[in-house]
Amino acid sequence: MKRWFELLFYVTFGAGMAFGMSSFTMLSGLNEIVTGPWVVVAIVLAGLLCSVIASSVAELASMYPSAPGVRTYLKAAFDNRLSLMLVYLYLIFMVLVAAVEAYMFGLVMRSVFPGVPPLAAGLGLIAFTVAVNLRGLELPKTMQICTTVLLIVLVMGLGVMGMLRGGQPPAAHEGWEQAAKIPAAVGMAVYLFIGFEWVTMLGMRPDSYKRTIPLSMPLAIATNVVAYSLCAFGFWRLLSHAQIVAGTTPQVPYFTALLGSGGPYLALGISFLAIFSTFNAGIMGGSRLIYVLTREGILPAWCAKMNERGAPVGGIFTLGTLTSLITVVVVTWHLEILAAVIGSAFVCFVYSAFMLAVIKLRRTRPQARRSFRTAVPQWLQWTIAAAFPLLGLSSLVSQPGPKSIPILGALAFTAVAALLTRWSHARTEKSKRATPYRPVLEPEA
Amino acid sequence: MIEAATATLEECLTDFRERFNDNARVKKLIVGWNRDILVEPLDAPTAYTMVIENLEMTSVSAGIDQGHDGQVHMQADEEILKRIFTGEYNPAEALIDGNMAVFSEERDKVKLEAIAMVIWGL
Repeated sequence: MKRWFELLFYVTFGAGMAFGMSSFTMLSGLNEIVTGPWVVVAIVLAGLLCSVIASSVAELASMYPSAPGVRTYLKAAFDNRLSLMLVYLYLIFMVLVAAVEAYMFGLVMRSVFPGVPPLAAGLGLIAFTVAVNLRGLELPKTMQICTTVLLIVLVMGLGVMGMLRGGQPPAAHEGWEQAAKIPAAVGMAVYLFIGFEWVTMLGMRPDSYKRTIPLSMPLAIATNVVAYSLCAFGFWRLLSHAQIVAGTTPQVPYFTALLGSGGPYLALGISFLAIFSTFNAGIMGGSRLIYVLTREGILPAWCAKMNERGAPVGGIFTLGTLTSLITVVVVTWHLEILAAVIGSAFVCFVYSAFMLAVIKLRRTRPQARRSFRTAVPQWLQWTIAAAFPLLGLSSLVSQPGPKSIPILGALAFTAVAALLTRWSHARTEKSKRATPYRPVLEPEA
Repeated sequence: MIEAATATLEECLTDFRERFNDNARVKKLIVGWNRDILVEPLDAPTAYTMVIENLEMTSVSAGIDQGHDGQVHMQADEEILKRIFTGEYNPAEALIDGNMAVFSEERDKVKLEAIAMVIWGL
């Protein structure tokens, strides 16, 4: 495989994983906190912070190439229980995001076919994805690249069109007073980039972890910064603030304003492109994470069941069932923003843990093989590791309405993760499978 | 039964080849799956290539030729590889522990793991 093709694949995979239908929902949610150019400021700052995180993730990936990072890095650096807790929070995030994505798909579908209930469309999408995964089907790399490039280019192009055609005057409240709300907006905007780190499991060659993967993550983030920023500017110039925040699919009125009656169809087409890049890979990746956790002895054995095609049936069904249940809850009570914000807050904690893992492993395993070392100074790593949980928490209480609901929701899911952690830890201890990390791959590079 | 502690990596791989070819369930799993499996110990000079072709592992030979399509590249210390190919160490666990790296398509990783599960019942 040619190096440039490999890099293009990693960049488009990272960008595509992060760019889902719920990205538009979050752009709408961001406009609830700040407006106009401040949305773009939040996106750019979140992108910069995620690039620093990506640099740390690249170092961890070079130590443990191709490993399921969220478990391996955190298990290597921290206590088994803390690692398990963060793994469960990450899995909860995945289920929440998949549910939000399914609901957004349902809403876009309804804008084109008003007779189709969003819940039915969302559950249909989950069922379809489960079926595809059970067949063991995977998009060819070229197709993955093409769909993501098309998605990003379309969004960028439509963003520019909106900026050129729009004529909305800046609202009175779009001044500097919004600067104080930026931290909460940045915490929320982090959501727009989550998923860039999945590429660390996909290295094609040992050498990929030296330069190509470390380079691909910031490139994927930068690509999405440009796409989201153009889109947010387009929204701002073409739609009124009330239109942007009126629903969770602002792309539908935006495309309609740009293209007339063909707008909803384009929104649906973009949804399908996003499904190719995010939803399917997410379910597939999530089910494999469940599978390897089961094989480690953490989850019940049926979660590792495989079919004759070698597809992890147990993981796929577990994730599909949980996603379906949460989708019903999200659709019934319209909890899409809440689910996305809670998920985003959890990932802020996981990203913070990645930064801390790099710092800790440099101290505890200084001689371990690292084909890439982050150039980010340690004081900045500490600062970002401390800032990310605060950003996540501030985004949790940033939305209009009672602040207690997102806090209670996050606490409820945290309690679930804690119970699962306790149970899994007890299982592994009991079965004597919880082998301590064996530093076999530790010779000096 | 061959043991990782006393056998060489080549002996472990040859023994694995026999188990692989004798297992009817493995044949079902590898329909249409022709791959070169590169087994590279990080702390020993000799790497090996296992060729899977037409529902069979046709050869285990010293030396690897990287950079072609349809390859699955495994890296670990020799002791770890021996334990994996004798069924003493679950490959999924080795991956999670960071003791092994596999460079391949995602579906190939799952396929390898499924083969190990069928052969060893891990």
